[in-house]
Amino acid sequence: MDVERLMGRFRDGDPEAVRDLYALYGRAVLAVATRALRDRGLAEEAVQLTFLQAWRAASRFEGDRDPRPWLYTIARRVCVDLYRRERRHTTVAGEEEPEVAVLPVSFETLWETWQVRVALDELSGPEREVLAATHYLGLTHEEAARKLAIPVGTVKSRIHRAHRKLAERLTHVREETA
Amino acid sequence: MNCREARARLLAGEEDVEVDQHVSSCPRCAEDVEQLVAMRATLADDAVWGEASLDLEDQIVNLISPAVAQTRRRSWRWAVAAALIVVVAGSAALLQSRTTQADWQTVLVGEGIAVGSTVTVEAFEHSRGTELVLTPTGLPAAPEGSYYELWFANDDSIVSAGTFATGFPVTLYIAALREDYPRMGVTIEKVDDDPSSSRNVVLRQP
Repeated sequence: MDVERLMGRFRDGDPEAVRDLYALYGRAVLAVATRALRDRGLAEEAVQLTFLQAWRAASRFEGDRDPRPWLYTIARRVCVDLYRRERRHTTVAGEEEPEVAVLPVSFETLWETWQVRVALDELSGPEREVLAATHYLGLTHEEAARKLAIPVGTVKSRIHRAHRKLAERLTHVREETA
Repeated sequence: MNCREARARLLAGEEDVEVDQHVSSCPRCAEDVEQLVAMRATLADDAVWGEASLDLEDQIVNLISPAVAQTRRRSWRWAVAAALIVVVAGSAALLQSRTTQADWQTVLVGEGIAVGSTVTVEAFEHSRGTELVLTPTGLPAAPEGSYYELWFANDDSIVSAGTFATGFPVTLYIAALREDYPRMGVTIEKVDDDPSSSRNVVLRQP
């Protein structure tokens, strides 16, 4: 997808561009929000607010820029705001409310979460599938092969290829955050 | 072994003598070891693998794009078909997903541009807040460049429960307690950077 053209349509208020932007980065926004807020309902609220704020700020977005850091920054700010709102409502009566509520996860952790999810979305479906089976479900190669109904050799080659691609994309993370 | 291979193996958690030898002789990879191990932990985090609710995309589009409704009105046939699909799908979804009764519910009555319409608000209390299912009847889509916003209020302050733009059912979430904010109302807001209420109430509790 031509991201520059997409952002131009998004800036012009094309409703279908909202769906396209969500398809590209919705999972990454949800991942950051879930990691930051640790609550499914709140995380989905954060996704809604992130796209709403992006929509409102789209006229100021320069079309030739990479939208990913811009969207990530909006998502992180939304999470901070929601976290503060939740803290206000859960502060025990009489307890002094902190002036600045800080997210329980670091900036680096959230940025890593964003980068990992974006990198995963750039892999093919079968590559993501084997990574989910091994990293998320904790399955061995043999167990993953049985679950996905593919030969063990295919699992191993897909995993190896997926890790190489991920490592290539994610090594940029250090350069960007340095 | 080259850097690409070593990094892939570090990310996979396949550290062995070969990888160790490469890392000990490659300052750049040695510098990235910690980062790759952290990435590996992130890959195992369920936050990374979570899938959004199926209707989240539609909720976002309905929330931020009154133009969707404008576009849909251009074809009355399409609009009628879409409305029927939404009503049928919405009713089926509600019947399937809502086996429990709402903890409380209220009806907001339209005035001004929303006169003749109502919005039924069903509230489902959760440990971290309240899920509000809004079912409008006869509510027109917000005019272009504006949207609806639901507010909870008491004598001293108001708090937003979220926004929506069309007359389709929508789900919002709020952490404020109803006993703290006993009154509810919907305003019409302009699309701008001002988060405060316009005070232009178009639906309120009778």
